[in-house]
Amino acid sequence: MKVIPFGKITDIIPGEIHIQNGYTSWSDLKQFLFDQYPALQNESFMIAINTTLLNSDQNIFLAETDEVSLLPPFSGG
Amino acid sequence: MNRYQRHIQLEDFGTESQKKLAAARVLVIGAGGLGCPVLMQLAAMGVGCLGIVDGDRIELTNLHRQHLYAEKHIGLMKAEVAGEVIKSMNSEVKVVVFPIFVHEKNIFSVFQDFDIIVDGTDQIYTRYLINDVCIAINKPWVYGAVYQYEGQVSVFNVQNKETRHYRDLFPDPDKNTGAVSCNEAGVLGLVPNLIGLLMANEVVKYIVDSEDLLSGKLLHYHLKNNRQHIFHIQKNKTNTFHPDKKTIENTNYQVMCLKKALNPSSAWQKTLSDNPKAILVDVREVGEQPLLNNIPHQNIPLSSLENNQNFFDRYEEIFFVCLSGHRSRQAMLWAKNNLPEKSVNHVEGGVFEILEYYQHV
Repeated sequence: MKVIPFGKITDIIPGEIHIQNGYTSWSDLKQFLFDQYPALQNESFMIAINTTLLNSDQNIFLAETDEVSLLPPFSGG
Repeated sequence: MNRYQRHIQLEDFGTESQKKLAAARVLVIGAGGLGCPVLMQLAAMGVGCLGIVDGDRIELTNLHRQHLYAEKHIGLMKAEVAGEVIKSMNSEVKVVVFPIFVHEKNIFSVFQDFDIIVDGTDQIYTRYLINDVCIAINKPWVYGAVYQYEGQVSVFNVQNKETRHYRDLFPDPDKNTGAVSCNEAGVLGLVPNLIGLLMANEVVKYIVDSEDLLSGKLLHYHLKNNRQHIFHIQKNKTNTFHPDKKTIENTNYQVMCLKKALNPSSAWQKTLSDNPKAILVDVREVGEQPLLNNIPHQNIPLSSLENNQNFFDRYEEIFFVCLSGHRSRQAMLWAKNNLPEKSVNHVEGGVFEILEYYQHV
């Protein structure tokens, strides 16, 4: 599956990452990301599974082909 | 020849849509990076009445992206200059200028005469305020925000079945500590201009009753790689906040958006009151809101620290502060390298942590 960072999250995860370990839930994937990128734990962000936005506290099952987007709040104008 | 002939000859636009534009009253909050392109586009296209709200003055660092302004306007009020330039672009447009910042108390009277609100602000708490007021008085609003090379757009509180609110997108006002303004993060000049055009597009679509609004959807645009995403926003079923006029007027939105868990080890309060050789230094640009009125401090923008190094000679302890803790952290790192004999720290919760503290003493 593919993880896509947005906005300020790109300071921590510089670009898209492809993960082939077969994570089946967001909570497993989140734990993996927190282990790999500890600074991510201090950030607030929403997640989108493919095109659907969810709160990052929600757990959800993931398919191998899913795209997981990490969307922090934007405030510039 | 009709000024809007090229609109009118579009078969699915025509005279009827042009009349709708002429009858529309649009309020733009913030005449900055997003507000400028929104205003210019809506004025050129013939929107009948444009309200412009901004309490800020024009600065040199605005000019790379805020194209209503020229060098001769530096130091003048944004709302007033924007109003004049818009009038000179299209004298048929009625312009209403509000050279003020909106806050909980004045926002209802500013909003009341307009059909649709456009958010061109650059602070997160103003977005929650605009959202809640629009829910309370039932007005749609177009949201836009940028970060460096990226931007996003949505339309909230439209009366249709897809309708969503800002609190559906970002449910927790106190968990947005990563959100930084253009002053802090920097922004490529054309990013807010592109996003502003997309916002103006949504305004026009709303006015002419187009079906395909970004209602319930978040459009995200990345200018480095031209990738676009459209995300579907889900209703936040756990949201229990139902704003009404009285509740909003009695809420302090700046404090509401403050990080809940302020750093308990933060020592600035005690040090600043006990040590006369301690100083609080605000590293935001001059005039950046909210001001630290009546709070002892010195304002030295991050970019000017180098030139003001001598200022620190008479102090032993320095606390840096900015809006979100981002620039103050950079200032602290600068001081650790350049003023190694001083004790330096920064206020992680930013100016709101300071304001919150002084409200209670």
